[in-house]
Amino acid sequence: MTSIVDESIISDFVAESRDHLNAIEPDLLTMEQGGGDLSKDLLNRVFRAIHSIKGGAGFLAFESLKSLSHVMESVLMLVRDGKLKVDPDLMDAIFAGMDRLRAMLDDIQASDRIPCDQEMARFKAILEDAGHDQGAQVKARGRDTEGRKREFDLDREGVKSALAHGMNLFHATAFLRRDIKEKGITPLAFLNNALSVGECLDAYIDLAEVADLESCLEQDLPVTILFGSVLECDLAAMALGLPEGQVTMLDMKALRRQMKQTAAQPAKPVPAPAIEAAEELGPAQETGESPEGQVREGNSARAAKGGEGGSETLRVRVDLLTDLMNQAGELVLSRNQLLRAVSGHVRDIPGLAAILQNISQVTSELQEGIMQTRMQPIGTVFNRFPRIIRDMARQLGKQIELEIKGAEVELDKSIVELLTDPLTHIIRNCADHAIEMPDERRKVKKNPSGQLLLHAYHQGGQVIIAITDDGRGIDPKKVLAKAVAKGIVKEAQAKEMTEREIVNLVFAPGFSTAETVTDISGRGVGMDVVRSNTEKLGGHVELETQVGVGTTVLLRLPLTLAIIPSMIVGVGGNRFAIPQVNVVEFVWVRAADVARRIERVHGAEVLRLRSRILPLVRLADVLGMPRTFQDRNSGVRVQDRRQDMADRRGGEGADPARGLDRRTDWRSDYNIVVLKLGSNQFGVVVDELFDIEEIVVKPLSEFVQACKSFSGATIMGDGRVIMILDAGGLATQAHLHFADLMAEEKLRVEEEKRRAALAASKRRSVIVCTGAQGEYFAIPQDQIMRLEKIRTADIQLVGERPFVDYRGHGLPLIHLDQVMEVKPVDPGLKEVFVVIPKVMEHGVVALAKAGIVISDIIDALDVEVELEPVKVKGPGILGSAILQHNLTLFLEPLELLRALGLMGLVIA
Amino acid sequence: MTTSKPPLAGETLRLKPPVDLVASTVEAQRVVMMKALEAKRAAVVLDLSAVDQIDSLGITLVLGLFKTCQKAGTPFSIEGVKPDLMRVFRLFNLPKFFPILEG
Repeated sequence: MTSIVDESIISDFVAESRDHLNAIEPDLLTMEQGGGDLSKDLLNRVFRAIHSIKGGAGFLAFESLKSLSHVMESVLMLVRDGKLKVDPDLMDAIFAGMDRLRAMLDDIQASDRIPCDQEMARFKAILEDAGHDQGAQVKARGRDTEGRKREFDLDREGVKSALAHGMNLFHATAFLRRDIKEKGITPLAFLNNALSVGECLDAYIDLAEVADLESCLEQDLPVTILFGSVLECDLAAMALGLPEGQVTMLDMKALRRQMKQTAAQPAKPVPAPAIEAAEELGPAQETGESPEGQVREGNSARAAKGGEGGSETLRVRVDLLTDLMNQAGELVLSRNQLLRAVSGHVRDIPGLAAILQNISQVTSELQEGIMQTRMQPIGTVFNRFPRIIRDMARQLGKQIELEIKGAEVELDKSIVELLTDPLTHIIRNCADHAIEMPDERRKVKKNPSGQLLLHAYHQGGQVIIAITDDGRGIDPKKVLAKAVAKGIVKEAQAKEMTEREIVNLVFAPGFSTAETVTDISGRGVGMDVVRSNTEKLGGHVELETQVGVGTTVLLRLPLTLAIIPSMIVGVGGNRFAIPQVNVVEFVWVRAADVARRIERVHGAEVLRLRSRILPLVRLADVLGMPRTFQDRNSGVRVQDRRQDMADRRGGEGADPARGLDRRTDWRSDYNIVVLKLGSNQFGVVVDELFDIEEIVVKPLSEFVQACKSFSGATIMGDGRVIMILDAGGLATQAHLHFADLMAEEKLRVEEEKRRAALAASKRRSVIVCTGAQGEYFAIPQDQIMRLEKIRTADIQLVGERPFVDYRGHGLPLIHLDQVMEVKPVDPGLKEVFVVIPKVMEHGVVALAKAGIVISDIIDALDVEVELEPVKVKGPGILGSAILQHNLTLFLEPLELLRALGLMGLVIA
Repeated sequence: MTTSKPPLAGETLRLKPPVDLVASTVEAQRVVMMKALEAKRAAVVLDLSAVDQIDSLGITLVLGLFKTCQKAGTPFSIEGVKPDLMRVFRLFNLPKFFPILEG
């Protein structure tokens, strides 16, 4: 069967009504905050939205929806006219009404069965208290087709609304047979058309005109509609498809008088806003023009037809767009394949290059255009939060101010939809846990009203969403204690964790520090959902927090998921795609520079890049593929068995039979793709770099979904399927600990600064000591933890390395002659001194790392000298100066330890 | 047109059109209704549970039936109305004239 009411009209109505409700929610919140000082535009917007819903519901005969929106409209009208004051109770009622309207829209076919008596009663009570007479009617006069005067009972609010929108009111008669049936349209289509040119106030059939069964089918029964439109009478008739004589304008003067009289009746204390509006609008109404700012927002039927003046937007089914996007993806693939296939024939066929370029450009533009259709402002998600915050603040007794920035930032629809849950979790967590109660905030001299900022912005081809609160922050100690108690981390692990790692435990499944589980949050599922959903979207989540100051949750998201420009790289003869959004730069390290630029920190290889260290990952290792290199003799790729990139074996150790040292051959150069992962960066070592291509992301089969290194697959121009690498997955798989590296880097930078300051400084407190006879050294006192005298007999050798038992553990000893060009300490001495440098770790003095062997301590001096460069080679030498008539080498013990790998960082 | 059982004077008459009430069927349905209403009835119920679609002439027929009942002083109501039909009836404000129950 075919439905009498076109389903698409109903779905349009539902979609538009939802849009209306979403659009006015921020206005309602502003209304609540504004109290008595409300903008007329804002009130009109809210009023019109509810009015449109009522109109559509009435037309489509959704009675409950119509009744509820009608009574809400009446309440809003009183607010608009200043007859009703906005207070939290009124807003509660309005929000409850909005929720009920939403519930009805969610199940529109059963909307009449959704109870709304409670909401209706609440609104009616409000109206009664305000002295409003719901359902007041006015008489309107018009003439029927035979010129007889007719009177109609019209709903006063409907008339008032029509007048306020500058509409004329018309009485139109349509005959069921000649005006509807014989024109091949249904009665519904006729009314639908009427709604496209105006607002239907009433439609009825005059019973007196109806003939009985005997002759009813012979008659042409008239249907009367009363409608308002900004059109003039002749144009209205044309738009309705009726002869001019069947459409007449109502007696507007009489109608206005009626309105005035109705309003003036003492039993109905609400004055006559409608007539005031009508009189104010007088001239516009006479000419049929719509006053500025009063243009009625389209209802479902109207929007579908575009309305007057042409439509700027069009509703399109999402599945159609998805389909188009998939087709565009296939087109991009085919374009790539075509380009690859004919690339060898470009010179043979005149004009082929231009054609290919054109196809390529049009394909890219088409694909971009289609992608654009799926872009939605993030505001569609953001806009729900003011309401959530408002409700939560009332429920929790807190004061929370939410600020939204960047609501216009656009993301792919699928991402926007999937963001709803994570963002809701974060916002609810902020309101519930982070923001303190007003009293608590006052005690710590904070504004009693908590501030919550929701900010979206573009950064490096990604969209960043930052949720910042000025609440209590996350206490790493509490987090760690909870995590240990819940068994999320073991105690041994806990000791090794950095603050950053600890704080990030809040994203672990089952974690919650909430003392009590509330209705709002505290079940420990929220932040886990945040992380998993964000990562599903190819995004990344980070947390920055400071106890007592607040927390920021950063979500980094891709703009789209479907077609992405990617770098194609090769390793071990296979190709992989790396999304360009993750790529920062490419670094080419010449084989000859490898030993100088690639170092090892905490057991991981790092690249020194512009004064910062970058952890390196070999793609072949992460993916479990054999490493290869190009043999300089045969030119073929053969397996690489070296463990370290920075092979520091002496050149003289190289086998001359193997020809040139591979470590300096250009074929051993390293290609490093620097990837960013949130605020961290790391390098991926690959064999080959190809081109940047637009790739169409195909989801992974469920069989390989657990492989964290891949985020999807794609088909290349030559038809090969290649995997898309996931930057986060690679880092996880390679066990990269950015926090450790960052801490190390920070320490190194501080050390460098300190060293530079030390070298530049003139005033120094030093211990002067001797090594071999006649060789003097000065060591800064602040770098010395202990000076110990030991017996040389107590020095033990483990392999070639000397140790001494120091407070129960083996202390490595450094003989200066073994690391710099100085003479050895006299081996005949029975006793020597050991200088133990002071090493700080995590703000405290660490256990002794090593001891520097000297023969004697001469003096402790405060000197003022300018250091001069020395020719003596070796690490940890600051310079030299003459002290007490002796040339003295000024040492930097920490640098010495570091150079010898006794503090973690090894410098080649 | 079917009725639940042969009509008897003084009983409620249930009229149940087996087809949609559209231009091609209304005349036949009108004849059946006329015949069924020859005897005086306590009430007339139009059961539209088998009707999916109704057009302008269908509406005219329903109104004609109501008018006939009204003239005879016989209460008239409609039952078993499907949601789509209900919308059309509401649009024409027919529930103002007689009770209409959804099916």
